[in-house]
This record gives sequence, C-alpha cells and structure tokens, in this order.
Amino acid sequence: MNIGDEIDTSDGKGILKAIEGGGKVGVVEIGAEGETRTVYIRLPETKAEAES
Amino acid sequence: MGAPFTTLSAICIEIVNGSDPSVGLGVLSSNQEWLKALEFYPLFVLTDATVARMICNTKGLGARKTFLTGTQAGIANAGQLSVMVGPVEVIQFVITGGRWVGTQRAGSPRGTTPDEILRELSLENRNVTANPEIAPHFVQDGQTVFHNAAGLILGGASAVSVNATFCVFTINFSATSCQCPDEYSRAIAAGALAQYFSKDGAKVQAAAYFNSIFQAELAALGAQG
Repeated sequence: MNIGDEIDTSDGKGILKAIEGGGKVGVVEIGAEGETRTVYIRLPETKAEAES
Repeated sequence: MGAPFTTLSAICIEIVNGSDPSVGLGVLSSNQEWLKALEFYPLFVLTDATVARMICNTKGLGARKTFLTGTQAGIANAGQLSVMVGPVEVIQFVITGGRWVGTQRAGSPRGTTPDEILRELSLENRNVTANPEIAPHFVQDGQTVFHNAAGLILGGASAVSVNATFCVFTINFSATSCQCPDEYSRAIAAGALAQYFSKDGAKVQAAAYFNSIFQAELAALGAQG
C-alpha cells in the first residue's frame, strides 16, 4: 500500500496521506478539500512481515 | 440568546441612578439621555464579548454550555482546531477493535511538565511493545491538538477517529441583544458604563465605581475577570 492510494475505511473511502508506526499505521484523509477528516487505520501487513 | 440591549439600557439607568440619590429608581435623569442613544450599543457588544470570552475560558462554568457549539471530527495528530475560544471541552476517540473499542473520552498522558507530557505522548505513539493498555490521550497546545491514535492502532485497534467539542464565539456589531446568558446582564451593563465613563480620562471615579460593580458581578457568577 502506498501514499496516495484510495482506501476503504469504516468512515468511508479516503486517500492514504501518511504511513506511521513502522509501516503499520495508515493516516487516511476522507472528504473534500478543506473539509477533510482524518482516520487512523491499521494497515495490512506486508508479505515480508507476514512471513517473518 | 441573552437580554436585549433595551433591557441593558434600563439596567444601566438603575445603576447610574443608584449613584445619584436625587433621582428616583427607574427615572432617567435629564443628563443621562445618552443612554437612549444607539451609539451606546457598541459598548454593550464589546462588553458582552469580553464576558463571553471569560465564560469560554473558565472550564466547568455552567454558562459555557451557551457557547459549546463547535465540533470537529477526524482531527489529525498535531492538527489544528477551527476558531475556538478557551480550553477544549472534550476530546473523544471513536475506536474500532482493540482493548478500548467504542467511544472514549481522552485524558492527559502522564507527566508534570509540558515537555514530559508531550514526550510521554510520543512514546505512546511509538508503542514499540504493542501494548494494548495504552489509553486514549491528548494534549492541547493553543489551537493544536496532539493525540495518540497511532499508538492505539499499534496496540490492537483497527481504526481510530478523534473528535473535539469546544466553545465558539463570534462578535456581532449589528447585534441588538447579548450573547451571554441573562444572569450576566447586570455585569455587562456595569462593564459598558465603566468603559463609557472612562472615555478620555474623564469621570475616572465614576468609571472605577461601575468597574467595581462589573468585577463583583463577574466574581459572583464565577467568571474569571
């Protein structure tokens, strides 16, 4: 998952704006420009992490 | 909606006549015609604004409810709140999954100094041990809100949204009534009189008298002057 990807959250669809917490936390912006709200989500583990 | 300015003018007459024993209560003396003039209304607006800000700055004061109309959903860590007055009323975390699932009122992280508290919040956001017991925390620094939503995700939550409720006040120079609740009417009237009488440094003693009524009213009502 990359910054700029569209992501489905429990609050609706948004754009992944940042990745924190060592790649485990996604900061998703939902809504129109100027009226956005931010939701923090757990990102799916990468294949490498899942296999380690 | 608070008292109309016509009522405040009547209160002003009572206060002014109270310092003039020769004039009966409720009667406007001949040299106080200025109280009828609309040019006095901006002083009501300004004093109402001063009192409103005092109310908003005093967390726990019942009158704050009048101004608790500001809400903001989905606040980012280090995000700024909209135009607000005074301390935030409540920060709520809406959490999906994990130990703190549900809607939770956030508290302050441990620490005694601002630096310690912010450092604790940073450590909670790193949450290197994936500790699920880290509770929802926030720190308000002016208009900016720092929180530990990321730390809660690392502790097992699947989604976290942070919302705020706060006081909003907008001054309105075309108003014809107060924004403060009715019980502040006498304070606002006395405060407006103090401003009027202290104009150009004239009648300083009268201004001081009205200011003392203003301060005593505010103290009785619990607003910090």
